[in-house]
Amino acid sequence: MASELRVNTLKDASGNNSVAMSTVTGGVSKSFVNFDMASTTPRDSFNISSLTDRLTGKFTVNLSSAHADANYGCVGYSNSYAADGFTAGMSMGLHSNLEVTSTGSAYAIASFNGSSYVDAKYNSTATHGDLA
Amino acid sequence: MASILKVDDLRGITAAGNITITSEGGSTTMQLQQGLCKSWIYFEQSGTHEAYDSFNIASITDAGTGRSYPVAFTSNMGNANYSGTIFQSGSATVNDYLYFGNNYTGSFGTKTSASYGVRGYAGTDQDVGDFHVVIQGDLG
Repeated sequence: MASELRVNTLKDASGNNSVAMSTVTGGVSKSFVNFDMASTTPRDSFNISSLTDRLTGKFTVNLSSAHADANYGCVGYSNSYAADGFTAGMSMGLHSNLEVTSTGSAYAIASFNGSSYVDAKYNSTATHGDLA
Repeated sequence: MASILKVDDLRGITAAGNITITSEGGSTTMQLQQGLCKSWIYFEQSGTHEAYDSFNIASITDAGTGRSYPVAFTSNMGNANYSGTIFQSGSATVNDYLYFGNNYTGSFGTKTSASYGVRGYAGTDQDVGDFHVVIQGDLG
């Protein structure tokens, strides 16, 4: 049977390590994804509805449950290389309103190898902030 | 009225590893476990590879200039598909390129459920002053 516990603060049984539920809710990541730009199927993900392949090296990440607004934090990593290894000069565009305007439910990711966009093999991103 | 729950172990009833929390906006719910960071570390790659602070890290090994491998978990991940994000600060060179364990060809950096590798690079391998790594995904 499902049950619901309403509480403001969590502590360990000794009464230490207090954490407010607002900190728990606000502190957890709201989504993450690990994917290869050669595919729109993630290796692993949480709260991701789909990946949209826009152009070479450019994807849109779509969330299942949306953030409350477009001001959430987004972190990521890309190896900017189509195979194992990485490209010196690699850079990654995230959540940047470049070509695709970030919304509460989607953001853009781009992988650049210093001279051109590339479908990178290893890409990881995560978002933090309020869900709607 | 404020309420405090004192407990050492939180578990779901239907499934021990599935606890639901309500979103800040109140319009949706999410699984608590999936949102939790499973490991993080802040360490200095140069010198002794000192970890200033960490969570769920058993050990970190200096594998040569710019290379730290393996960074081993205390509790392993469920698979090798976890997400990792990295950042540097305090490096003498501002244009370092950071590499997160993605099977770099050679004997370094194969990412497994038990460990991963990271690398600092700026034309040549280079120790990064302060390396930050955050891991998300499924624990084993």
